[in-house]
Amino acid sequence: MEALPQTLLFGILRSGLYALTALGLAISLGVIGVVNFAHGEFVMLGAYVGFWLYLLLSGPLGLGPAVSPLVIVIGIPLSGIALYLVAAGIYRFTLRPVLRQPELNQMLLTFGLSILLVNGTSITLGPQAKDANLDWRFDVFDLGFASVTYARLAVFVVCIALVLASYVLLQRSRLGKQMRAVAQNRLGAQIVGIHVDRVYEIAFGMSAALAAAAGVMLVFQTQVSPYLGLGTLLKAFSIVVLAGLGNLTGVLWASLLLGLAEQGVSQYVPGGSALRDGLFFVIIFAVLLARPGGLRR
Amino acid sequence: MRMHRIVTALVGIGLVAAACGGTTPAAPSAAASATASAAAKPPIKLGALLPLTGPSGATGQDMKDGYELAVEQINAAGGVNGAKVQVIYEDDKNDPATAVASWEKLVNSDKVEVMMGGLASTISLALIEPAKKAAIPMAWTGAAATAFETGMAGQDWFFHYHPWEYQNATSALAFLKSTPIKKWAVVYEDGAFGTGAFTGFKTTLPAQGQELVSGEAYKTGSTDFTALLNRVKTSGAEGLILVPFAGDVIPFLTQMREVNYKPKLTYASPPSFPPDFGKSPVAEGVAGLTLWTADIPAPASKKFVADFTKKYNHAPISYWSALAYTNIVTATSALAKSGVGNKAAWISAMEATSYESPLGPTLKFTPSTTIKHQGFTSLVSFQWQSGKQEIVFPESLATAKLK
Amino acid sequence: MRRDFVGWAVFLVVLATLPWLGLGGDRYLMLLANVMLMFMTLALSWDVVARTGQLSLAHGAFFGLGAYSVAIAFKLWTLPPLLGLVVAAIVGGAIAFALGIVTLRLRGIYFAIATLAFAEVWRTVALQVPDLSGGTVGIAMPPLFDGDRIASYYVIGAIFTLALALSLAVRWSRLQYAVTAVRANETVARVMGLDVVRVKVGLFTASAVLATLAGAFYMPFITHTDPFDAFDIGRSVSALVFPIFGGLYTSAGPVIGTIVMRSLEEYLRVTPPWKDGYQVVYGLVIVIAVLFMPRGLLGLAQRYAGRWPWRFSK
Repeated sequence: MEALPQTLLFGILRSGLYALTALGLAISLGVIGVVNFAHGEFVMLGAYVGFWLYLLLSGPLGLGPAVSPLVIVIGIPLSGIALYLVAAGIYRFTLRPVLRQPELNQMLLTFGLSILLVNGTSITLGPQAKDANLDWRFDVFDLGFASVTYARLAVFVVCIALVLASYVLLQRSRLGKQMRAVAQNRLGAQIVGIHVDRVYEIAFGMSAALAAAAGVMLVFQTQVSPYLGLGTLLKAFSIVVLAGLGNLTGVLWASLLLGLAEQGVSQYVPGGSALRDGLFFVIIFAVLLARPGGLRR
Repeated sequence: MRMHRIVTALVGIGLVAAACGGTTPAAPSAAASATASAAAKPPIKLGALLPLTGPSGATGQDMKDGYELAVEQINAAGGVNGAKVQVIYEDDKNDPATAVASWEKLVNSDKVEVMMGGLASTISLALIEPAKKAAIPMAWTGAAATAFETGMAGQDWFFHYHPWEYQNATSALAFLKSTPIKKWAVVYEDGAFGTGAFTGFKTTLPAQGQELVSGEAYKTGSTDFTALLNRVKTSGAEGLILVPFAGDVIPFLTQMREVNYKPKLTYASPPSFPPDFGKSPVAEGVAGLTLWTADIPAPASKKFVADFTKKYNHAPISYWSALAYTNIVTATSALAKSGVGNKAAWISAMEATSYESPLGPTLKFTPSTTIKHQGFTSLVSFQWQSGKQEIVFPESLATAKLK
Repeated sequence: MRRDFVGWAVFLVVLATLPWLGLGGDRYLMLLANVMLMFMTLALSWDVVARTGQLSLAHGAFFGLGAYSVAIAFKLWTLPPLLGLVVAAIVGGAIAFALGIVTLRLRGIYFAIATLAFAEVWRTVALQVPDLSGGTVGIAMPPLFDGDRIASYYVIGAIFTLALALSLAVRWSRLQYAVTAVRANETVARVMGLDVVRVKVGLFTASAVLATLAGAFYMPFITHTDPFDAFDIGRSVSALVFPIFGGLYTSAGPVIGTIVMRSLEEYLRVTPPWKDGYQVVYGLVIVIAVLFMPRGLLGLAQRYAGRWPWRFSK
């Protein structure tokens, strides 16, 4: 039982990254209504931007201890803008023409894009997984009952900050209100004079930017490879569905639930680490059966 | 619905056309080689089945680099009895059905002389049946699973290069025994690779007077090991044996710091370590098992590393490139002695192999517990000291002492 | 309908005689043919269920269950693979029935995620019962008909014919109206007196049984599998990509979609210069296909034949 505080802490810390990854997906799904199979690849590309930045800052520029915070401070806006532009381009050239087609066709399109991006990256940048030897991955911060790497803390803080900033944007700003209006009733929004196509493009770009930010933070946790996106996608989807379509605040709670559940199961169930993923899906399945619309509030 | 009929008819014709098309390629190349024989010998075709895409793709590419380096050198030296060597690579995508299809294509359509390659055990297991049906010379680098060895028992044309998992274990155990540590914890990835190792340790560690106090499985690719590490910490283990894949190594070692777990020795045996691992602060003191490191003093190894780096502008990523190099060099030397198309002579020539391999030891094929032709049988243990991989066991090959 | 029937009959005859038309001697091509029929079965079965509006991501899991059923039946009772097929069908049918009932209330993406969750759990289950399933090392059994690819071709051909029969039967009977109604608006369909439960669960079960049979064939054909191969999510994805590409809610669509995509994939994989980058091309083909062929290949063909019988119903 002495591991309980640490289990709780780590569960909470984990949920930060989950929430950020899922939020982007929730936005594209909720506002545009498209199932974006390439979302994981946006995360992956963001990670590569972060990794490239790490190489640049630690190599030729030799900035030493400043590298870790700089990767975050520069990497997030940089990858966010880069992926926003990429996503906007994807929206204009491939997604928009397909929006009037059935859902399945859109799914197929994003699935094709996903294959393109994964393999394109693998061919141009190499399939080899790479590690960023960032200081913050190794330096620990002692809390008494547990030690945490700076990386773990930073990932949580940054992700939650971005999630909260997104919420503020969605609730308070004019753009946010437009997005929510479109999510609720597309036709009604058009009648009221909202430029739906522009909102769609911004929403898609924003979802990619959030994903890219999550990718940059992933560089602090794991190896960077073209296949990074695949696992991320499954979990993000599950969280979004668990929260319920269109329920953006639910994403935060669903992420927390899953982060804690994962950590708890790993710690307390014998053989838990191996069972963890399986149990993840059992939980999803059970919740969906009990509440067919997700955890709607 | 007339359209349906037309479409189905077209499909039928298409399939028939594919069938006819599939059987003709042999004709043109036979004619070409007949007329060309006066001028130059037809190239000798070898098949290599590797994972070139997917998560193992990097290691597969490393192997391909090793093969290509050898091909370049062999052909520059005149090839095999005057004929150029040509390797046809097929990607198995780490999928058994694709691997079998590729195998069939290489053996039946391309008609290669020797089949080389092999990395993952699961793929090799699916190839047992097709291989036995084809019964062509097979010089196989990969697969350590005992199930594969059992499957290939009695097949004289099968030559296996990589040590089997029980041989891996023997090498590891010898090293572990040489350390002063008595209580071990084993943390392993839950696939065939990790579980196989763990099952072995369960019986072999006690057999040599050491205790296995904790065994924990985890799913490779998961980024969080803290729960597991807490349990290991409370188990009283003095030493930690880690059987992971490359991607788990750094997160795992980092999290050991987070839970404040400092065993006296950490022994990790992934198929290969992450690139530049030695440069990270968590590498210091970590010991591991390997077939080869780029730093070993053997002259053949130094030459290989130099040639490789010159051709590709980067060092070999893992021991797989050196293994692949050894694979093709020995297979083609045997072909040079036996001539093409003579399986029995090739087998005899392979049996007579005594090759100073870049991996270090001289390669000879000897019987293992089940098969007749096993190549490498043992591995070395090393430890990272100040960013360098120093061989610490066996003492005959050691470059430094264990800290 | 009469004319369609003739078209399909011709197709089946061509398929049946394929080994004798030159394919038979080449083991590689016969392997491709066997695998092709297997995927066509999977695609057809997925399409049937998609007609009711249920987007299943579990078909790959039923495939895996089929494979393991046959392997375990052999391991425990030395059951020959052909009888193993029957066992697999029963197992798959029972599990599918339960799943169908339990997920009745779920719609659209929720149903898809639930089936995905269901599928993923099975891999963990297979890993946790090593005594039965062989665990991570996997499970093996002797080859079907001792590796005779022509004989196995007829086995999978028979399974394919069953799948085709199901697909056509739904199309040509009153079920066609029923599924379209359910897909368009389930609530209204129910109000109009349609037994939605029977339609959804019945078709889901039948479809899953076929996917299970495809997997049950796969096991003795490939002789070895493990949890990661048997429950590979990629197969569930293929099961939906091929019908969408070929033309949804039809029988010819999944068949053509599978043939074109699989042939393309295999061709790209073995032919230089595509060999090294073929998956990029594959992805590109999918994207272009969706952009320019919204109704799949079949839709394209019908458009150029001057017809437009298709109506979207969401």
